[in-house]
Amino acid sequence: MNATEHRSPAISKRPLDRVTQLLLVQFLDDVLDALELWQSVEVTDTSWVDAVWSRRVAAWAGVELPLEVKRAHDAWSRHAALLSWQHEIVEALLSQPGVAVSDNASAGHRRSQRCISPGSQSLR
Amino acid sequence: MKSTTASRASYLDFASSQLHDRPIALVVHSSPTVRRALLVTLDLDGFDVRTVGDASEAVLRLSDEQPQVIIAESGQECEEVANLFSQLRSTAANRHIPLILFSISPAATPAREWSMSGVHHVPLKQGLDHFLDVLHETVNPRCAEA
Repeated sequence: MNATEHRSPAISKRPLDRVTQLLLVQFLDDVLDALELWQSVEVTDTSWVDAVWSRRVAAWAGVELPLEVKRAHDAWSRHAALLSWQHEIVEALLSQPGVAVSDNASAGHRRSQRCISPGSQSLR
Repeated sequence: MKSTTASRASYLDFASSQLHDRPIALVVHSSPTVRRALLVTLDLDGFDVRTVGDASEAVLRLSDEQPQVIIAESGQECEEVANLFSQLRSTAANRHIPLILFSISPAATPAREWSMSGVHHVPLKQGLDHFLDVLHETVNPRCAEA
């Protein structure tokens, strides 16, 4: 699957402005953080992502979750799909000519390089 | 130029919604990981979150600031939750604050004395989205209905 095929409908149909992209990167970083924290206390439900996204992001920016994220129902695949989407947005930010990506966006991207795994230890 | 203005307006709308009119939720839990999980999740969902490690800290915090809701776990530290509950209900200023008791363990059941008005028990096995729905409905019933 190449980058164009993988790109979410929300990104490919309507280009997002840079501020929205930056905010999404930060928001996604917090979502990934929360998924990992819940996983570490053995709460693997991810239904809250859809509910929060609908209330906080779709209502504000009209950006829907990509199909890959909506279709992923277990914690691992949903985390991977969200991380992949965040990478796409960061790549899109980096590819903008003459635009320096803020330290915050880069930091958010770097923070999300860590991944949860089925064998992760409980931190509780 | 137009898009820059639109972006700024969009950002300001978002920032405003993030900073103003956010209900305060007080999370009481001994585990830093659970506190952090609730902090991040509730913050994402529009709450202004405070966290404390035990009931005595919660009572101290209540003297400074009145949250719209208090959240604790029912399945663990029953004595701690009972202490929090009695502190809440013994003070007139805090008596009205709803208490949401969640349980992570599927086997956990709430103590009988907590099954009364203003106390909601939410097993997380029903889904975190259900937990958030109950939270929104508790804090602002009219918004939840709309």
